[in-house]
Amino acid sequence: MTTGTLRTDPPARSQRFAVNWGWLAWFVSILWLFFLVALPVGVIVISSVFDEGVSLDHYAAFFTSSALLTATLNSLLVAVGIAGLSLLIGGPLAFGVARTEMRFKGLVRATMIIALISPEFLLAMGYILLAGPNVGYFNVLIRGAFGIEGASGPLNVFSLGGLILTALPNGVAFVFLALVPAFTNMDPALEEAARVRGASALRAVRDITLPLMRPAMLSGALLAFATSLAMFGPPQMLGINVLTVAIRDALVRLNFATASVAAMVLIGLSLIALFIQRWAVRHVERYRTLGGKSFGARTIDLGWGTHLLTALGLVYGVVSLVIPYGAMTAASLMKSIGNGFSGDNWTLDNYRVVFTDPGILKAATLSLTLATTSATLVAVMGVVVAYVILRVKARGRALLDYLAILPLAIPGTALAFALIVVYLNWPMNMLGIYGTPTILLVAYLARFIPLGVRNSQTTLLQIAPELEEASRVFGASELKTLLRITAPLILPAIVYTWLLVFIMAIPELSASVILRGFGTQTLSTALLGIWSGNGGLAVASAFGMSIFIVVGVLFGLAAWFARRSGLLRGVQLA
Amino acid sequence: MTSRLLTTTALAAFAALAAAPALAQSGSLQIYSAYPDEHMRPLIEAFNKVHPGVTVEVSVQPGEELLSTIELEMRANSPRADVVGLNEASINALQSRHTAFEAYTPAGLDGVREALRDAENLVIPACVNPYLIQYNTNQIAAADAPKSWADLTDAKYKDKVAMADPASSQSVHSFLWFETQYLPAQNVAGSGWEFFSALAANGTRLEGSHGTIRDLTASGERPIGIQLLANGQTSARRGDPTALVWPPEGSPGEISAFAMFAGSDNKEAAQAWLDFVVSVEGQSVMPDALGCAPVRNDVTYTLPGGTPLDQINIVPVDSAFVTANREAQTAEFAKAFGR
Repeated sequence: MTTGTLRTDPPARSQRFAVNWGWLAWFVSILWLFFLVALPVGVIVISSVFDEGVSLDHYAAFFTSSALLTATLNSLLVAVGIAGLSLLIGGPLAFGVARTEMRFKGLVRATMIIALISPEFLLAMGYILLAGPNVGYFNVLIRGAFGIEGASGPLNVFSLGGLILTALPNGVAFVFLALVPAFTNMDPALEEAARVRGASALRAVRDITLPLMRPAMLSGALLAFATSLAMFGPPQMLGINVLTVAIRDALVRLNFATASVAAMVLIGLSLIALFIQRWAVRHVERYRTLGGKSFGARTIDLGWGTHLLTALGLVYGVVSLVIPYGAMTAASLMKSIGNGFSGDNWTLDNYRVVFTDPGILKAATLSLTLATTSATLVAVMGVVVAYVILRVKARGRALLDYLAILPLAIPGTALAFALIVVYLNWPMNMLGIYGTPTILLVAYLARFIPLGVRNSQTTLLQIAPELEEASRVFGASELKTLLRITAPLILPAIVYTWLLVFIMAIPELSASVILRGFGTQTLSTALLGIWSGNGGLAVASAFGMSIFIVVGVLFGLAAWFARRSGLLRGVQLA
Repeated sequence: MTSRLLTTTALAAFAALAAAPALAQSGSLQIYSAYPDEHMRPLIEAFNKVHPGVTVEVSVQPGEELLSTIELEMRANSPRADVVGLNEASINALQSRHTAFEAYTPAGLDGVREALRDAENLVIPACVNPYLIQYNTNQIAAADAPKSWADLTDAKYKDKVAMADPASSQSVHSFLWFETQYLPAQNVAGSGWEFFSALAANGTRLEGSHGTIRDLTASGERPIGIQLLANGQTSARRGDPTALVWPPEGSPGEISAFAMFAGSDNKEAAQAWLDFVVSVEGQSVMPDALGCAPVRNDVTYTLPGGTPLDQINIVPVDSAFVTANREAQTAEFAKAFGR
């Protein structure tokens, strides 16, 4: 680990407190990322090279296995496809919602938030019901409408394309949620200047707005890319050979060497994406749009472009929210999904099962506690780490930056096994957290660290340091500057991170299922238990819908409160 | 731990002094289970009628993950539960690597069919979960349904069949053993690895779990599944439009089982659990709980669809073979299936 010496900035100024607070933030960040990220990643690195002595044999075996190379290629194709399509769909929609008078903004926002709340395996099952080649509703409709002969197709969800479409709503939501605050925080005077000089509204957007949005676009695309690499549920269910599936298969065969090499390849791919992102935004000062002047973000009239955005929002909302959730709602009201929309197949029993299950209330309490705690810690520490990376001139900042993004690339399954190894063995076993809710908290914190750090970084990048300089010039200490100037400006980012982590922690399954101990049932593992139990898909859908409704209401209340109290100034969410 | 152990021992001693007919147990009993919560619950309720003082806690993981978790715990020498519920082959695998479990002869074991008992009494059989064919009755009429395992390779069923992937399912290894070892030994034509090559050529889908296959069959997307009885039982209970076929070649029956950890903190309660599992009371709730066939003959049981138990040919699985050859079988399967 890096031992850092610290320089103050500027070095000539003697500010005892400034040095101390910056150093403290640096120290806390190092500890935070060491225990949550470096330690489990270290376990993965070591098991990838250790085999009765250090060797690269496991890597050689990986790169000569055609199945694993195919898995790598598939993972890359899926991640690139999802990131690209997410930009194409999420970018315009974010612009439309933040800056234009497009309609159906509420539908678009709801689509984005709900995409993140959904347990991925339920959604994959919903898409199988819709686009399964044999009796998927779409296929039956299309075959009927066009008189296509044969018993299967034309859509096939069990394909690489099917996987990309199934997992796309998550990626689109990441891009959308990264871009909306950035669009909102942008000074419209820049566009106005272009308009005054005779540029059309579209041209102003293309030449002024889009280039300024590059950091936020790349940040959203990076999240979409990395989470798609680490996604497990949908490819497993659709039977697509990707790296995460290979990792789980290897772990199940207790082949930790292959599993950790595959995890290292995933981490490597995400690091390459991070390098590209950092390289593309290397001149940070170009993207600062929040200077000393006040302005109010305003809408821009794109003429017919506005209608195009409305149409895009409507189609996207219907395809990725209304239809799959409609299918799931229908399934939740059926006695058996096999009898479809027939008269006597309807029941409310599935909901009764959910609300009378003795374990579910306990699971809900634990899940809400975990989500609240991890959201708070991730949001606060996200700002601290981002602040150290961008504002404190200290050694090891680049390392912090990379450590803070790594968990995105680690599939939950691999992270969970690494945590088991760490907390079952000396010295960490003395903490006694293995098999308790605390180890779940550790996993959630590790998984969601990147969201906190990324969001805060994007916002901090937009705030010119001159604002902070000015505060110091007038004699304020570093701490006072942080509290009086920087903190209020990034408060929306903190609140936004909190809400995002809160809703993403509820459906977390891949790590939770492996770290379960006695009395650590979460909503998602309870859902899995219901799905594999007597109720099957119908009761699981009812449970899923109940989770959406409860979390949606809680989320709505939190967002309403945040907006009412001005905490979300400039950020538009659900 | 020590104080809990003392309390337990004291209570047990007290109970012994009170000379209760069935030795009442107390304290907490922690069970690692591959059987879903919903399936464990009726079993625990019935157990608590006999032993109301025992608080049973269950931690469920899908079988394959549970196996890896226990493996890691054993490597760290730190097992966390008193009892495990897994299939016989998986318990044997853990035992062969770590001596994780302790032998125990439950009180009612002599009522259990002899062929199902473990010679060393490490693996306590709970029920038999045989393989069968489940099909969707909305998609396929009874007359057109497959009658045997061999029928599944018929072009009539192209792109209709689903089975579990041995790379992620433990149970399906019983079926692999049946097709590649047992049937060839009986000189059944078309068995062996060529059976799986033929299934692959017929467009058979591989899925990670039997639960997914059950839902694909019920929805009609994959109207035929190579399935376990427990899932057929679940479908029957919830009214899915499916029916079961018992192939004449036989049904490999894997044994769903429990075993007691050697490092258990509450062996009295663990033993009471194992006693209960093989008892008449325990066995009579087994079809409603774990969803599979009882291991005693003195418990009345009819298979879903009304087939009497003695009309089907359940083939006991050679779990020693499955334990020893898991890796090799997975690799051979991948080759035969063209993966």
